[in-house]
Amino acid sequence: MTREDQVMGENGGEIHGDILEVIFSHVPLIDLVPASHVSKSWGYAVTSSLSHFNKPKPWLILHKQATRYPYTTSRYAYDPRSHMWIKISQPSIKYNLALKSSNSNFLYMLSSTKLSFSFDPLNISWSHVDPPLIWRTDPIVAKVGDSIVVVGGGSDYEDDPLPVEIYNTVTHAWDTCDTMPGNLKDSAASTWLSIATTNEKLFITEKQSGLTYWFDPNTKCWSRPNKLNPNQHISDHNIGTSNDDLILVGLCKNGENVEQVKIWKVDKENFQCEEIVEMPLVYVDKLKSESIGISSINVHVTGNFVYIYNQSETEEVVVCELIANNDYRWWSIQNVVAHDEMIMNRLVFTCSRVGFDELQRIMRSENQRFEVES
Amino acid sequence: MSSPEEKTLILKSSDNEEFLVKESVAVQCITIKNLVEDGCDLDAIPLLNVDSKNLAWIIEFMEKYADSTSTDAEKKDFDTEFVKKPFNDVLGLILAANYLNFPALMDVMCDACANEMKLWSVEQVREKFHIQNDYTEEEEKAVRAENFWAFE
Repeated sequence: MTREDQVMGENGGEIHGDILEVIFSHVPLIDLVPASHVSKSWGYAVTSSLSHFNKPKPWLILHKQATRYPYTTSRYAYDPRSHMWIKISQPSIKYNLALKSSNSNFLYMLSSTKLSFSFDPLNISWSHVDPPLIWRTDPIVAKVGDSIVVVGGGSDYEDDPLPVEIYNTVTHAWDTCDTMPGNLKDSAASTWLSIATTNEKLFITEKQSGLTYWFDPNTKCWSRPNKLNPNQHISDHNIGTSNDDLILVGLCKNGENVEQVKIWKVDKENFQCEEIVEMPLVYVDKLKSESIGISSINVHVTGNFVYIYNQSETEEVVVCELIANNDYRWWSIQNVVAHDEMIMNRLVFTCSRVGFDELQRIMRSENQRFEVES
Repeated sequence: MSSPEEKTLILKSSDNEEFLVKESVAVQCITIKNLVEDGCDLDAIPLLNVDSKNLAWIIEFMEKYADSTSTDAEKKDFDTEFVKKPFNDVLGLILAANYLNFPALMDVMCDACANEMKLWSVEQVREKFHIQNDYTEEEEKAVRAENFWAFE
């Protein structure tokens, strides 16, 4: 800290250096964008502050879509770096079908005439392509590298598992390959399955049993069956990818029949599970609904963040942040959408790494407005 | 006989005013804590970069935060009132909190500063922070054109 940083003249000297960067660590990301335009030195200080003092963190994005035509959609984002909800207004993107997401920030809409999908951080740009050959309800649709993989789903006409279809975003062509393993046939709809993706593979876990497979869209191969078995009975298995690790978030009960939520790291080759951390009971309580406790949870994992909520009651979301090795921070947030609005709307959550450069670009050119929800 | 917790320190501002503060309260400033632990035996601790105006405020804040009977809600109310100061004083307190290494005060003042900044246009920020605009004329034009909304 140099003397200049500490000089206070009659009007106060110009604040710069570390002190300015500490101030920036308290400023929400969306407000740092205009701050970066104040002067060149402030631009550098914003970048430096984001690097050294308080990095951007993955946003939890909530898409609220009315269940009736014209399916009006509103979007909200929770920024954990500043602990606040933001309402994102966008020019009307036509969401004329049910919005869905199987994982991370991949959003899609599927009808018999087209598949629409988006995977940029704020789902601003959309692609519209021909749908898969075989119609199915409620499949898994996920992006693995350059491939959009459509797996499972149900059909009124077919009793056998449906073939996997892969859309290549580079060649713009569909390809069909072997079906999903027969063991997953009865749970083929996406509500019974939890998925995670890396750049090379799609991992699928049956929520109830923990039966897990991976699928490689390049070789079109399925793995043999694996059971996620961390020496504890888990009633609801959810997986995700945290940086490069595969993790399992499971609902279980302890010896005294008390509900617990635990997180394990899963080896991607042999599927061995290593317990990482357990959710403090005070947050497990927040997830419980009045009548039935928790029967199932949904999980969104990106970077160092795990967002967890009760599938049937999304009023509270529990957040877990991995700070450093073996150091975890837990807290809970209230859903920005009120309980009564949940009835007339479907809520789709995605989790997205919104970087500062991306945000600058979006605020400059894309006609998006960001307002803080108090 | 006075036990260490009851020891009183004399803090001297840059304009030579002396303030009496209990040691247990003053060590919330890590700079002071380090001096004490290093066995500083001066009559008064000189704080060369903090004037009496700021030091009085800082002591007010320290005493509120050291008070074990004040609840979180009371502290929040106190903070809300405490930060209602002209912006130059907010900046002055940030500099002082940084010099004294007083994390709690730094947090409260930086939050207050961030809250004020949100409402200002780029021009207002430059004025309030006494910033020298280091853009060339062309650069300024370009930045304004691309981000006109920030300058309103």
